[in-house]
Amino acid sequence: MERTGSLFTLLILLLWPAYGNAQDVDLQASLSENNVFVGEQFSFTIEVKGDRIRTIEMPDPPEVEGSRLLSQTPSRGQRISIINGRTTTVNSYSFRLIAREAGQFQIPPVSIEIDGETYRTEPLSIEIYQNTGSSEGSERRPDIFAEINLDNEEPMVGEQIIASLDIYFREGVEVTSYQPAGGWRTDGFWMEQLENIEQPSTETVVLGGVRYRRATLLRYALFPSRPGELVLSPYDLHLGIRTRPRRNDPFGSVFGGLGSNQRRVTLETDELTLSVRRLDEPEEGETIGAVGTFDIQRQPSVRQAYVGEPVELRTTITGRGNLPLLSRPTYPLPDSFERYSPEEETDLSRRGSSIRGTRTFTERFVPRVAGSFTIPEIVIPVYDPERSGYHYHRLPELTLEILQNPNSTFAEFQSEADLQVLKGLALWKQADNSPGLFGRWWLWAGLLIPAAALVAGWTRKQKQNRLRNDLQYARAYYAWDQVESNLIQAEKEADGETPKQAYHYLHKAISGYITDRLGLPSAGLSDRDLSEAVQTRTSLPDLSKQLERMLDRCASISYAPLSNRKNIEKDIEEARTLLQKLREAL
Amino acid sequence: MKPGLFIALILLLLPGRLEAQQDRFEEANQLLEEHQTDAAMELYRSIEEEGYQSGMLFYNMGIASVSRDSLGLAKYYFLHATDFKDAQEEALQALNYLNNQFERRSAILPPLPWERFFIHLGNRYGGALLALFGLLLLNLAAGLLITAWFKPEPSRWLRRSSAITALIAILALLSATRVQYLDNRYKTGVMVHPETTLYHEPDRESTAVTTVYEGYTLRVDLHESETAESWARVRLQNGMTGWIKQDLIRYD
Repeated sequence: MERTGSLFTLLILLLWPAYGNAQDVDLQASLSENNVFVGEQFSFTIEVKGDRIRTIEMPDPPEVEGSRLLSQTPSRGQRISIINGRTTTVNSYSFRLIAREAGQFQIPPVSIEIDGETYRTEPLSIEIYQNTGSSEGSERRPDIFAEINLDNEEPMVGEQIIASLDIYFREGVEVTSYQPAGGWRTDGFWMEQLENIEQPSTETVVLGGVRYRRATLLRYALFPSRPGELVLSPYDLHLGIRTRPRRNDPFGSVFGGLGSNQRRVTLETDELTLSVRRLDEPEEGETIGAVGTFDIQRQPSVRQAYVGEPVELRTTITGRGNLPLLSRPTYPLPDSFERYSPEEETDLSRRGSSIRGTRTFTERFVPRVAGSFTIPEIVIPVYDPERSGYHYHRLPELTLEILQNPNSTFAEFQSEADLQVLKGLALWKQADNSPGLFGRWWLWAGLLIPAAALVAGWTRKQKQNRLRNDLQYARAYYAWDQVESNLIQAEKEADGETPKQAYHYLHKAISGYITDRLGLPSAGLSDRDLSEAVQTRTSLPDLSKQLERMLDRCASISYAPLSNRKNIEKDIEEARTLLQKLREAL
Repeated sequence: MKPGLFIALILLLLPGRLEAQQDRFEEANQLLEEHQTDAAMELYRSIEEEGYQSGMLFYNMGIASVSRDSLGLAKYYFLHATDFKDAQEEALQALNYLNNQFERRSAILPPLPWERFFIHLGNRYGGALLALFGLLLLNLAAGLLITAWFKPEPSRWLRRSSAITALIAILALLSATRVQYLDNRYKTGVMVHPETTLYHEPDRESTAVTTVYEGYTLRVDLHESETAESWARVRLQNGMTGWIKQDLIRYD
């Protein structure tokens, strides 16, 4: 039994969509023109659209007052379209009629039998005008012009009005493109362009006995922001048009070129003045300037928070109306709540015939004291233009529990009583009257010591390098050291067994010093050469003579009888004096 | 006088002087607890005027100011107390409480990152310590370089170490200079008057910049303030700058 039941259910489910789709029929009736002149022909068309239609009975001819049916049999047509694998058939039945009497007439519903079921079309209306042949007696309008049409010329402050930019053009004119020419001044209004018109469609209108085609190009939602007389400036529009010669214009083809004439024109609408009414004062609540149909909600981010934790209070206003003109509702928050800058966010939809969306106001605050706090109930009045009265939104009272954070690093002071006098031994410190950083000696010492050390080190390093690389400089630098060494040696020899040898060292000390200091070759120079070199360098003839004498004595002492020790010491002392003089002079 | 004798004398006298401050401090505390606020404040001030400072002293002066309903002055003392470790935590709590008592509070524009860096360095180490650190490194760098010069074998490691040390030393010295400059030039002040106007120029007839309320924290530019007698050039926490009468604010 269970198995049979399941199979039956499956069968029902499989067949159900097919059965359901068989009933999916779309029936539409339309007129080729809604406004015609007496004597003009027009069509009444019935379209049957469906994807599983099997049989359609011929529809009965319509009975239209003021018109006569030209043929009892409609012309038939069929269109088949396949979209996503689904085949849709559109069968059309078109009756031709001729207008006979002027007036406004109703075309009653027409019955048609589809797959055994009877369907009825919606009633349609048609206006038939008496053809006067011209627009005499009425204001003559140009072949093409633009108008701003308002759906309400006496709105309330904040009430939405729709401004439609319509163009009117006569037979023979085709509009190929359009472009607004700059900004449209709408002082005193907040304006939003509506997005509903993607492909403008045209309809026929009769103005002053002349038939025009009318197309709505753009639509704007306007919200007056202040009461009084407000002016909408003219709207400039660039149009690309193509004109064809009229049937009754014998020169049309001559001036219009070969059948058509394409050009660019600029249209300007008339200036419009609106009388904006002041909103009545609401009976209660805090007004935020809301006009429209709104739902208002107020919600805190948390109901329970710790002291110091940020909390958000979000007011969401959703609906249709002057959302961007709303002011932020203000709430009396407890004093211990530290307020931060509120935020506003607006999400608008411009599709359709009105501005709708959501506006969110977020209050941010940080509670500084623990406890239970109440944000009181508030009433926000919203003016509803459709009801011509206020709707009062009551936002209920909110209670927030603020707790002391157990993990807080230190307890928050709640009141003045928590400020307790600190007692006990204080850590005393003398006020800092010391000189500033630049008045401290150690700063300058600390800067000067490394600077001096670097200068000294650098100088020393340079000297070392020169002594290593410049032989002449090294000889000159170490010349006195050699003198000291030779004099010591001479003194030793004077005390030794070969006292005459001391003169050899004296000669060596003097000649070595002169050659080293003057950069002369250390060998190969006679005593005369040395004294002349000293004479040339110092221009001291006495010194030169003394030098010559000393060098002679050193040279000739080998052949002289052995001198006593005192004489030798005297000569050594004389040589030392001479060398001191040479040191000063060279 | 021999140095040893001088130090011994100082050591003998100093505890006595400190004890005298402590006695007066405790006496003032007693007066404050007995709600003799004016007398307590007078004693506290006498200690401060003698050049003695402590966190507990400034904290209690803040409490005395709260009792006298001078919230701006209380904020000044509590701010001062935060510079001392012995009452830092209590002073921060008190400041937190006090800031909530002011009806109007200034918006706070955070200082620029480098400015925050130098403020942090100044608070944490101070200009003198930074300079000392820099000087030590500078001397070390000089020593390393001189060693590298006279080392028989050329040492790239020594030269590099010297260069890096010198670079750090220069940075430390520049930071010390900047910290010292900021410390010398700017002081933190508090508005102690209920309300006044911040002027564009040091002149009551000049353009008004904004209104300053009691408890607003200000940064006083001492250098600029010297150019106008009895006026102070200040910067509010919201970034606005202007001139304010000196007697309406309190700063070090």
